[in-house]
Amino acid sequence: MSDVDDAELRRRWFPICSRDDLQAKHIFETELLGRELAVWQEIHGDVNVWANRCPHRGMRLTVGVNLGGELRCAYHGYRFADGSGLCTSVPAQPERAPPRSLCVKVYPVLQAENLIWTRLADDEPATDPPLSSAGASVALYGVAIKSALFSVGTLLAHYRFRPSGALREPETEDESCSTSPIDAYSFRSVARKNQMTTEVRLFLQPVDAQCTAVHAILLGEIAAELRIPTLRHHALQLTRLRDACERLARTPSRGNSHAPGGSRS
Amino acid sequence: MITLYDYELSGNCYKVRLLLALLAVPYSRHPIDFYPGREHKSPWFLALNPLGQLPVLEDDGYVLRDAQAILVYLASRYDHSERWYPRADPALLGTLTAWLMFADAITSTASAARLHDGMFYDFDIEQSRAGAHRLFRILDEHLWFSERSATGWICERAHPTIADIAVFPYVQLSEEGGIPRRDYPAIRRWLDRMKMLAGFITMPGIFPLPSHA
Repeated sequence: MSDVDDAELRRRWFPICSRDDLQAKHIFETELLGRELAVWQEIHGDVNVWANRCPHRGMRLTVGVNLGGELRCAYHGYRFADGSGLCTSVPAQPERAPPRSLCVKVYPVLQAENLIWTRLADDEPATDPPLSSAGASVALYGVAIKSALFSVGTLLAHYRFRPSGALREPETEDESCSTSPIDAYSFRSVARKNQMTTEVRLFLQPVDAQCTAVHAILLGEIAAELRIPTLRHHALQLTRLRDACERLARTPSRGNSHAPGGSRS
Repeated sequence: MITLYDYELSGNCYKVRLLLALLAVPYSRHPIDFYPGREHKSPWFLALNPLGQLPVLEDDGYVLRDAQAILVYLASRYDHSERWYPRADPALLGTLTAWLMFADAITSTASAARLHDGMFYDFDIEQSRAGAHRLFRILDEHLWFSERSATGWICERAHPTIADIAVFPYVQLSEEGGIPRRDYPAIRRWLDRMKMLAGFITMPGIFPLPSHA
């Protein structure tokens, strides 16, 4: 990807995990455009998206401890505050207040559609994420695909989802499903049968130059008895697409041709 | 008295030590010089286990090889609560056994990659890593669904089973074989849950979840 593309991508909001991925005391690890991130939820539900790097000696914060209101680095026990990322405690210097310069790189956070969103360039105007107006949504299984962003986007048009209300019925001719792009990084998949409509949103996360994650949500709610079959149906569709996408990526003549400018590495 | 023929750095020996610790069963360790001494290929050890593999367990004269088989034996003999190896439900027993086999597949991929990188074994490293990633994807999706439909353990039980213990070590040690877990969020949460078990013990390369105090 060229530098121009990079600047545009850094301004964008991207989803990096679902809310369900963040559990008490857990520190979630991912990458966005090759930047390692440590994502953690403080005890009242606020979410922190931080560079996965202790400002003291560079240790990965994901091997540290989520204390509820602070994150503690595993290396020298430095603690960093929820929200600001400021160092609150240096165990080897209990008498002295930690310098203000000792601060984790903090990224902006948006919680929407059951997903956690962030963007790398916090000093530049953002492009709004393509959110639905629907109130409730259900997080579906997400996958990481060993393929560049643009190749994954091309293949997602083949994502097929049956209306969740019709999952236990045979497929019929009046059933339809189409997946179309909202923008280059998000897709809408609408399935219809009789009066039933189910809409799934798919969002791409450029993890690094070789890997793209797909996050998915179903708009609205699922009846309790259909919940697991619906989640399974989606997981099967998406993992099939992942495998197809990776087969293409392994074919040198075709797989790389989708990415303008070629691979960053 | 139980004797475990043991190697400190072996994930398969560690899973036996872990179950013994969780069950609070006393035992003694007979250390084997696996690397670099290759004592597990020595004539005296081959008489004990002709496969020349660790671990081997001896319990009052009864000798048993194979890490998964040893977990089955120990849980059946010493876990009177029958939580770790529930046998009453045939379907559950079948599923549990399938995951014990899965643990063996993890050994031949993720553990092989670790032996290649750490102890200079002549394995096809790319094939080992790719094989481990294929298995990790299956495990991650399984655990994601387990978090939703059950309890977050490998089998749909309120309590973990020996399937969790069998799969755990070489997944947790995978980075020593160049297999990162960045793309497996459900696996990472399950590893955290394993480390929170009362009586959990570590081995070199497997760190405790630090106290939250």
